[in-house]
Amino acid sequence: MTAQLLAISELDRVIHEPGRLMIVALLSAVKECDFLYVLHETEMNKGNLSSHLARLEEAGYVEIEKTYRGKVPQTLLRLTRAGHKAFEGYRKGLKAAF
Amino acid sequence: MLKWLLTNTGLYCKLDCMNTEVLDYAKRPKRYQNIDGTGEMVVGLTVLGVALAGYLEALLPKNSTTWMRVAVVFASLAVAVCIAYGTRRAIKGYITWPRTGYVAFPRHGKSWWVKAIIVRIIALIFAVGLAYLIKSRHIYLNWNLSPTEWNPRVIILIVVSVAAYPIWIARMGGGYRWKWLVLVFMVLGLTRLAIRAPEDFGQWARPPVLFIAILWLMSGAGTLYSYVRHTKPEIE
Repeated sequence: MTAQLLAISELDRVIHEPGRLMIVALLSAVKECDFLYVLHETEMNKGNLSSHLARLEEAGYVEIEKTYRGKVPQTLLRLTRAGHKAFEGYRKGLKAAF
Repeated sequence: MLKWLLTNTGLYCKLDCMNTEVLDYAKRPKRYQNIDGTGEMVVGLTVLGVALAGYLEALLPKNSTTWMRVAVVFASLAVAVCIAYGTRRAIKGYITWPRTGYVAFPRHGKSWWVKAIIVRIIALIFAVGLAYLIKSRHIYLNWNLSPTEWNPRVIILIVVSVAAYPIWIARMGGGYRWKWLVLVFMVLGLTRLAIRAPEDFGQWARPPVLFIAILWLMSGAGTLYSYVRHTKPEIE
């Protein structure tokens, strides 16, 4: 197996899925944001986004915090340290694949 | 060989597109910061503070001390910055976040507040020092403008004001073609205001600065109007 193919095969499968990649790329550029912002930017439906977030939370890449802004419920999302590291690793892997 | 194989199977293309999309998505939050025109309004209100400082300073009695003049300028600027900050917070809190979501940006480095305090202290020392040097006549400012030769300060003011706007439009990405018309209006207006009878620089600069402030504010209001028209409040 060549180095390129090896690099492709070693890409993080959790992040490699396009929907989750969008979410992680967005979260990598912010300190925190809410569910609505990610929903608006990714144009996914709520169910899809929720399941992707659950998968990312399960992998330890995203931190989800349920809170309130005034009386309105708000779901805050943050990329964890492991998430940042995984995303950096993924980007390096992708570059290596070229 | 591998590249050929991957291109033909579409995998290489897919990975390439993915890389481009990742880069685009990582840039989106920055563009989102001014989706509601608050950035332009902050610039507009701050420049308005500068213009008002100029007008207020002109209203002071001729025998006013330099310190009084500096105090008037700083007070106007402080009020303008506070209003700009409050306006931004209000628009984000009541309009933007309920419609398209809340975003907080990272403060780079752990000691960002230390840097912020140091920058403010340096700015204060610089301002007080400059005021002292002007007062003690160590620095002599020639305020007179020649009608035939344009003073470099006039040219710098126009170039900086006009150049900042297209940079801003480019940062915001596509979809705001009407802003180029604002730029044309800005260039024409400033040129018209610049061609005037000779007077001192302070007097000369007030109308163009006010004009720039109003245009930035109008541009921000236009962006906000467009944003409100194309979005609606959502409940999570």
